[in-house]
Amino acid sequence: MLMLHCPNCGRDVDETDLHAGGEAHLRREGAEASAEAFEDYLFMRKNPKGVHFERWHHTFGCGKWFHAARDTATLEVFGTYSAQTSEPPKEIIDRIAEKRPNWSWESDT
Amino acid sequence: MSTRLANTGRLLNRGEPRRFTFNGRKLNGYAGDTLASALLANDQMLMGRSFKYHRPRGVVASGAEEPNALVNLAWGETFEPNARVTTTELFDGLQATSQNHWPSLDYDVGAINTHLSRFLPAGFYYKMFIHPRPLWKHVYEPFIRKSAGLGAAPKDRNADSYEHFHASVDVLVVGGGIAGLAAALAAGRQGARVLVWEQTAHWGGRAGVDQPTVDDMPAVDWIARTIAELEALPNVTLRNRCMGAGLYDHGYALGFERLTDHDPKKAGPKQRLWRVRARRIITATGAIERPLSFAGNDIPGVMLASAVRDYVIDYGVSSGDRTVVVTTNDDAYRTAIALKEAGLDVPCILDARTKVSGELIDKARNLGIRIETGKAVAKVKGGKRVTGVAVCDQAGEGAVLEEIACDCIAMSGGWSPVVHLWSHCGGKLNWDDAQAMFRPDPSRPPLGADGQGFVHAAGTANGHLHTAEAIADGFAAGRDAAKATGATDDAGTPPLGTDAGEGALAQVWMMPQGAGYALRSKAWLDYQNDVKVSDVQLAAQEGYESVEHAKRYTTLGMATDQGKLSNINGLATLSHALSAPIPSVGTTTFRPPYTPISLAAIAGPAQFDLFQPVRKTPISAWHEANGAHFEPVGQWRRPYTFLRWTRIHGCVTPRRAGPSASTGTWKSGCRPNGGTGRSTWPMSPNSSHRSRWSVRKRVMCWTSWAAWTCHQRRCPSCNGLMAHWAALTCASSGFPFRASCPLKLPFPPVKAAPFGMRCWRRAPGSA
Repeated sequence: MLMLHCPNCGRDVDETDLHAGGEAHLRREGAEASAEAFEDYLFMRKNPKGVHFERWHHTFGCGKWFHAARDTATLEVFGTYSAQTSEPPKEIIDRIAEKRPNWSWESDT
Repeated sequence: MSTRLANTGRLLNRGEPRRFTFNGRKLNGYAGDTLASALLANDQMLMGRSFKYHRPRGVVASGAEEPNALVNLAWGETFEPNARVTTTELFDGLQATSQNHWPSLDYDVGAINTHLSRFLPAGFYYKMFIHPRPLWKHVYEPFIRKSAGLGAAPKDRNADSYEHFHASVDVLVVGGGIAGLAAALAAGRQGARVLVWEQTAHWGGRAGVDQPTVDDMPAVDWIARTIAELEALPNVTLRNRCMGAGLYDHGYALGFERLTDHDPKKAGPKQRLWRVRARRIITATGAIERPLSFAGNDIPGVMLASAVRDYVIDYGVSSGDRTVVVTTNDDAYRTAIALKEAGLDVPCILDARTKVSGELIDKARNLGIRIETGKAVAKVKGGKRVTGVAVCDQAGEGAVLEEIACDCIAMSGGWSPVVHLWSHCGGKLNWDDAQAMFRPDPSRPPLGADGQGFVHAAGTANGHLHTAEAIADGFAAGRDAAKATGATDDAGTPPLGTDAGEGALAQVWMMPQGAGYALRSKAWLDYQNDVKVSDVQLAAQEGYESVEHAKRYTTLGMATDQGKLSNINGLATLSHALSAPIPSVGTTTFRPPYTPISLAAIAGPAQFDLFQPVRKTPISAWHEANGAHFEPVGQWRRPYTFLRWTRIHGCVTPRRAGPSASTGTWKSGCRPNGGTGRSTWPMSPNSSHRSRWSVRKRVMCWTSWAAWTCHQRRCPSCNGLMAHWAALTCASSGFPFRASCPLKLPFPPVKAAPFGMRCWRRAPGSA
């Protein structure tokens, strides 16, 4: 059972108090988008073995959304941050890059 | 004969006798006995029947790894199937019955299967139950269902209470042997909050039996001193009878504590589930001795060498007058020495190694025990009890050199560390060829949220089989774990352990080495599920080369003991059959829980009204006031119908039908269409009947409600118990009621549609 830090209310929270919201940092496609782009947006998810950015909802707590960066294979958590952002904060990107030299935010997106 | 000895038994309290029954026989034991030792003391070696061949089986082990001796336990209103006799502490009034036989334990019809075993090899059901197809439903499946399972299911509702316990600690130590205690000592002295779990009722693990020296004193004295020191530390909590069941992500651990299982008269919950978050976890879970594969190694009286030793020293029980020791390592010599010192006869030690030397061997030789090197067991003689052993050369094919009469065989194929907890959350293993064991790889531990390993294996569970290394390893693990959590105090000096030096063991996976099919098909790997060496070889031959496939094809390690004794022997046999090294074959996945834990403990207090919250809408009180009967919709309750005839007809008794108002759950058999298979509610607003609703509403309302009522055999008019089956029938069939019902029951004088969505709109209370 994972334990994540909710940046909104500042508590370490059990997974049972949270609700997973899928991949973070999806870019919404508008009406003018091509069918392929819209399909990508709507259905295609990364599902990586390794570094992953996720949305979590603190359902049985403050009720707010936040983002988490973690490794899906080792369960290492690189950090959690506000959901009001379109890309991870620099310190989290730096922390991941330090621990996973072959990874970069540019190649991930 | 197995019997009680007069002078040994360090765990017994002979001043407190305990009375119990086994299959109706009245027997006696003492406080401190397990059910296994008490049965052995009463010469009850035959304790159960195996699952597939119904072979007679006795106790093999003395702890949680026991595969054979499972019984039904009863006490008062409590009934528990599949209880391990080796972990069941004896109490007054315990009633045990053996399982999986008919008509009796001694004479079992199913034992015919053992003579048919040639035709029931591994995976026979996959081949046999396919054709002809119609037979599956009418012959095979009923037959398989009948033979499935071991114990009987309890008939009554569980009357005991169970609880959950949440805790958060710095260091969790699983295992209260000397390594675990040393770890707790180091972590506790440094000031970390420490929780220690021990699955048995006693601290110190095997050290109490083997009696090494720790800090220049006998191990039992060191254990007592350490327990006293730990109890005095305010930051250390000790729990015995508490088994570490599983380790999960980010330092989450489950513990299963037996509170009153050993003394049902005690008040309070029966069992407790610990749900713990620990920053560091130390698995000092010890090791389990491996059986040897030789023909007839499942005959009652063939036991693990360590178990024979435990019964003599801990419980004062001799498993037999004459015990032949079969071994591949030095440790089993301790059993021979312990037996000799207790005054029992050890006719011979059969050692598969050709050269032996060392302290323990000299000691055994000086006691006058005959030691035969390079020898193996060709075959065990006996049916329901060992009567003798045929000796052969380990290097040969099983030509019998000599027969030795005995009534017990103590076998030892080396020790396997208990790596279950280490592996639950992703810890990896290395194959140690010198000690023939899988041991935790410290460079690949389970990782926590910070990317660091959060589990430290310690002691024998880490592959250190000797006292000096084990206790030092435990202490170091405790010190490091506490340091990682930020504890800063001094850990003090590590304890120093010494015991007799031991020589290298031999890897022996089949006895004798060149055994033919006849011997291999009588050499058991998995006792509970009846998997033999020949079965695993057959699986490999038929292409089940992955260890996970071979496991499922043969059912090796799939019994309730989850292969604690059989896994390593099984995969060594598989690797030989595939001509592949053991590490490349690998192990099956270790999954929690370590030993079975009760579903009631998992449910904990979540029963009855506490099972789940009832969610109510603001209008709920109004519904109740207007006689709504609710149906559960998830956690919500929705009015199914509003019943008002009872009031109209002057029956003021509240109806007992339908969902209970407090929980919204249905009593069995009370569903309006329960059991009839046809819908008695055709008037759903969304159904095709909607358009005809106005025409049919009276009939439908009435018959539906009557059907529900009659389903409970109650009169639709007065709500009293109804005997008239004709009325029942016509009511539930939806037949025009008034015309055919012999009771001539009137239609209820209701103007508004009395239930369902209609009622919501028409406000039935105002009608």
